[in-house]
This record gives sequence, structure tokens and C-alpha cells, in this order.
Amino acid sequence: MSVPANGLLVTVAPTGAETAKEDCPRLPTTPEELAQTAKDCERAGAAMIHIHVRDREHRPTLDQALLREWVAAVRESTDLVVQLSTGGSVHDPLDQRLKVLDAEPDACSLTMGTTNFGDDVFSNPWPFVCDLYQLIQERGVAPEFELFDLGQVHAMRRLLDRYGLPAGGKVHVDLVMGVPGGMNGTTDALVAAVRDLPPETTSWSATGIGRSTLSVILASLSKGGHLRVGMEDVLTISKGVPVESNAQLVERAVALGALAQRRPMTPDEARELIGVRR
Amino acid sequence: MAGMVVVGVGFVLVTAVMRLIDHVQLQRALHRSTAPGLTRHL
Repeated sequence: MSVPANGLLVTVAPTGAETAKEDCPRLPTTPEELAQTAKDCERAGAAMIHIHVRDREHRPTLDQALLREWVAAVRESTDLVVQLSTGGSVHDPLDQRLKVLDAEPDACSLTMGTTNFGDDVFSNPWPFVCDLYQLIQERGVAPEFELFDLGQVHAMRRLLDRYGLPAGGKVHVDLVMGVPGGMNGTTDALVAAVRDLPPETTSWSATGIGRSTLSVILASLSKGGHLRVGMEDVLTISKGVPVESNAQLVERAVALGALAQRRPMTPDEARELIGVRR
Repeated sequence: MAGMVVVGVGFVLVTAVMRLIDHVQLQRALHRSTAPGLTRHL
């Protein structure tokens, strides 16, 4: 299968680890809610889902049984590419984050450096990044190199120079923009990051947090990139108006992509794009 | 006629209350979420 030149990968990040269920009841925080969200988003044009797991009390967790349950819930209800976050929440210990791969996802995030994350610190020391990347290669999982800052573009280059390509041969990047502590969610920052991506990069997407979501979507489309959207990254569809569902954000991304004459990729095309091994 | 007015006013009031609840809930979610950057919409 080939990847269409005008294809648009839309990834949905429906939950995240930072917003409480009691504050945002529409956030999918159970396997059942996630399965329904996944179905709705697949119908709306998403091809990949980026998952942070919650426990029975809706709190972030890296519990292995729950990780497997959530992965199974998505696989049973959709054909979406299942990408697990290896970031967890900012409080999760590094050794537990390595064990995320035991849940056998198709893909996983790999954040390329430590970032101030608002008042918290999202810890990704270089030795941890190296360990996690080697484990990803060993398990044959498709990584998504998650870049929060321009310095992490350079770190990714160093990582590829030292350890080589992922098992699937594809290098897919996601720029996470607009986090206070990381790069700004602007066209200028996006252009700078894309310009410096290593030549091994085969595809990239971008997501903008909060208000930067629209400017990042438009900048990414104009540079030929792909998109990540979802309630992990934004809770308002416009100023003061709450997001109704993750599917609403996917629908908007697909509509904006259509204006740029891009059509949403199927999950199988996404597998080809990012090098998911069967 | 009076019945229709009552229904109309009731509808407007219910809608307004629902919007207010949505607004309050959103503000609370934005303020309490630890996802940095979300509150930039405020």
C-alpha cells in the first residue's frame, strides 16, 4: 500500500493526563468512553489515537492491566492505529514509563527532552530517552518523536545518529507547541522546527495547545504537515465555548484539511506512513 | 397566547441556565487543569 501524496494523518489525543473528569465530564476516562470516542473519531476521519490511561477513579495511571484493557477497547471497536503515551503524567517514575511498551501498542510517543511544563517539569533525561528508544527498536513499535522545543530537534538528530532508524524504517515526528516552557505555538516556530528536522524524517505532524491550536493547524497544513487534535490539548472550540467532543475537533481538522485539498488518511495508510509493523 | 409566551420564556431561561452551567464548568476545567497553556483562552 502506498501513502497518498495529498493524504492527511489526523491523530486524536482524547484524554491526556492533566484535566480532571469532575471538571470536564465530557473527557473520556473509562475504556467504554474511550471506545465510543475512538469510534466517533474514526468516523470523523482520525487514523491514529494517542492514549493516556485513567484508573477507575479517573486518575492518570500506568497500571499494566489497565493499559492492556484500554488498548483492547480501541482495537475491538475500531481499526485506528493505537499509540500509547510513554509520557504518562509528569509525576510518573521513569521505570514505569518504560513498561508502557509491555501493553504492545502499535506506536508510542518518545519525548526528546526535559521540558518545563507550566509549574511542573516533564522529565526526559537523555539516558532515559536512549533506553526507551532502544526498547522501542527492540519491540518493533513505531515511535512518534515528540518535540516540545527547538533544542529537542537537535536531540533527535543525535539519537538517530547514535542508534539508527526505528524498526519500521520510518521517522515520524509530532511538534507539541504552545506549552509554557516549550516552543511557542506560532507559524514562525513551526517553520524553524521543520527546517531543522533530520533528513531521515519521513513525516511530521503538529499540535497547538489552547489558543494556539488553530494557528498551528493552519501552519502545519501550509507546510505539508499532518495534525494532532483532541481534548488533551484544547478544551475550547472557540473563545469561551467548550469543546463538545473529540470528534468535533477531528471534524474541524478534517474540514480545514479539505480546504487545503488534503483528504484524511485511512488507518492502514497511517500504518504505512509511520512504519507500523504487522 | 399566554401559554405560548410562558413556553417561550421558559425555553429562553432554560437555555440561558444551561449555557451558564457550561460556562462555569469550562472556566473551572480550564483553571484546574494542570495542562499548561490551556488557560490561554481565558
